[in-house]
Amino acid sequence: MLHFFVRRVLLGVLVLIGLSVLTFIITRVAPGDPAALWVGPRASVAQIERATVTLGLNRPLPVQYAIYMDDLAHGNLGLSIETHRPVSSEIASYLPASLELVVSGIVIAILLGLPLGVLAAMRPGGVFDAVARLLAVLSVSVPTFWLAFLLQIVFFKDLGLLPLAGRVSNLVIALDPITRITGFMTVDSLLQGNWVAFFSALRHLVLPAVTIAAYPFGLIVRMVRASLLDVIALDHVRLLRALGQKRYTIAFRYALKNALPPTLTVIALTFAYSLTGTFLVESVFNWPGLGNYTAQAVITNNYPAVMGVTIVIGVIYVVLNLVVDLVIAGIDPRVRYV
Amino acid sequence: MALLSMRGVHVVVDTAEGPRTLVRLSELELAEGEMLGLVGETGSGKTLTGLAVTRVFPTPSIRLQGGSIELGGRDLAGLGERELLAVRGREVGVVFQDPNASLNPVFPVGRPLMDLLGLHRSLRGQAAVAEAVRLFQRVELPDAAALLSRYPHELSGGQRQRVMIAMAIAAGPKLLVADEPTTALDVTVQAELLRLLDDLRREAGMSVLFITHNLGVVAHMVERVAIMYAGDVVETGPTRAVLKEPRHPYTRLLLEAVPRQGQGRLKAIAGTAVPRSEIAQGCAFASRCPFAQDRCRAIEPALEGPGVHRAACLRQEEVLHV
Ligand SMILES: Nc1ncnc2c1ncn2[C@@H]1O[C@H](COP(=O)(O)OP(=O)(O)OP(=O)(O)O)[C@@H](O)[C@H]1O
Ligand code: SF4
Ligand SMILES: [Mg+2]
Repeated sequence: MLHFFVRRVLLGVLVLIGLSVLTFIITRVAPGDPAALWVGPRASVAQIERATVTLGLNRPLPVQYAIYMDDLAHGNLGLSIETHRPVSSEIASYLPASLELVVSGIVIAILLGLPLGVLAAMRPGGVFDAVARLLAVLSVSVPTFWLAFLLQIVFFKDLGLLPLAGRVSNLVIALDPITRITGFMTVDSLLQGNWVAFFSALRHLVLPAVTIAAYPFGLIVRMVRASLLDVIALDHVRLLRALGQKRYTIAFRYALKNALPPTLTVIALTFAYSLTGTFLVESVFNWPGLGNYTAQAVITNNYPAVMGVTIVIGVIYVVLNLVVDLVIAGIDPRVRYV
Repeated sequence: MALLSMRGVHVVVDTAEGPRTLVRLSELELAEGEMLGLVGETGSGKTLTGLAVTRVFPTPSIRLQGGSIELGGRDLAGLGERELLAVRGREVGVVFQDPNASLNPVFPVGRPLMDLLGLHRSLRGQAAVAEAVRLFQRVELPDAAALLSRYPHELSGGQRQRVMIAMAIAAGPKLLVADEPTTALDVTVQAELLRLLDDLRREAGMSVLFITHNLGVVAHMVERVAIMYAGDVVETGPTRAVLKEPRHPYTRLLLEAVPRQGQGRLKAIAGTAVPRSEIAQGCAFASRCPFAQDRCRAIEPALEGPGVHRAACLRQEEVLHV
């Protein structure tokens, strides 16, 4: 078990090193002079040259990389070219908003997708199966912005049930402000017992989270359905049926556990995917998250910010995969001995 | 009185060209407390015949098309899925052929057993554990209490087979369908398992349908045998009589194929088993039968003979006296 764990950690570290090399090279060969950006549009040639030296951009590439890695090891992601502030603290201020969105989205996708996938597989060709397949296709193929607008039109404009955009209402900001603890507004307001703020944050979260949930939901439904169908044909499932075990017990208590490992892998993958793809959702719902920040950084060629975001998401991805591997090892005793 | 009586059982598989017959059983009976050996080559339809009782087939495309399956006087063939749920496990227990694939690898072996005890006998918590331990001991598993929390891959093939038997008898069924429970195992383990099944049968007054493709396995332990070919019983009777004086040419050939001491390998029967669906009329065995005549290809022989020893062969008297 320990052996298994150590191997997975080493593999994760290797992935991160590869990622750092890749992002480093891409940002250095991309067009645009970072030094010129650093000093601004009306700077003189001499100013630009000075900036090139302060930023270390005149050093050989391997040396630049070594410095970059040394900084990275100390949690230093460099200074933003735009604001000249540490990228790490900027990411720290934007990341929680995006994480809150993506975590809620994935949780919604799991809560709806898992049972629906199981019900679909229990009776292929049945009602649940038809509904599941239709929803799965729709949810992965519907354009994000279109879904976002549709939800806004229905739930804000027509029904008036949910707010249009933002993270909390202005009233809350004025009268019951949330002190930042984790950066997750729902969590922070709960921790402070600030119920008014909590419900406001929750109501603001629903539409963007549902928008985010659509794609992973479709993937999870299909994945669960497909792997469960495979499992249901196996002897050990048939034996339980032949011995009179109930269909729901067999599906949810037994077969689902066999079908879970491939599904968990897909969930980890879509988590990272959703985190990098929040930009559209964040702009439609005016959500101050990492997506907006990253898009801005890419447009202005703010390479330390782009690299910082990439590394942070890479770390999240690697950690998540490690967790999934450990959970799978917990599920399947045979994996632990591999 | 017969506990199980199957008549005209017809099992088909749905294909693109319509339903194809896999089993068409003339008759098969099993008395209370009796062990019947169901013997035949691979593909002869033994498994599907056994599974027809619970109607849990290997794939959804296989289904029971017709016939009657009376268990204790009630026709199971007429029951719906919901009513069958109360028959499965409680009145009929089954043991599958492959012990490696028949236990869920991600659950401790005691878990499905205890869940079945909860379902069929309302035993939960400590009571379920105690009964599971008792059942494990009954099937002669060593260190029963500790074994409950072991995973299938930590057990030997023979032990897994015993776990399956424990699950099958958990609710005290009147009938046990044991589908080749010994073929995946080595000879001494086979003998032990067969003895265990015989003990359980005698002790609980349970009937056992013992499926195997090895005549040698059933020769000593089983009172009565039924020989299957192409989805039907071709000969049935007391084991001694069938083995000593076979009335069907197929049984004769099977007997010659049984490995004897010092002889080593199994002698194969010439030709391959013919699927039921390819037989238009006449005797199903005609294409491989050394006794076949023209009339064999025209008339379908029925199961008949003097007394309890019967065969489906037009020339059985001649076969008997060769
Ligand atoms: N899923 C399936 N689809 C189509 N035909 C099948 C299927 N399963 C079994 N059959 C056919 O049904 C017939 C009877 O199969 P069955 O499994 O009952 O034979 P068996 O006597 O148990 O053989 P074995 O000794 O190999 O277990 C065979 O001809 C087989 O090819
Ligand atoms: S009926 Fe004819 S073909 Fe069939 S087994 Fe008897 S002799 Fe052979
Ligand atoms: Mg079989």
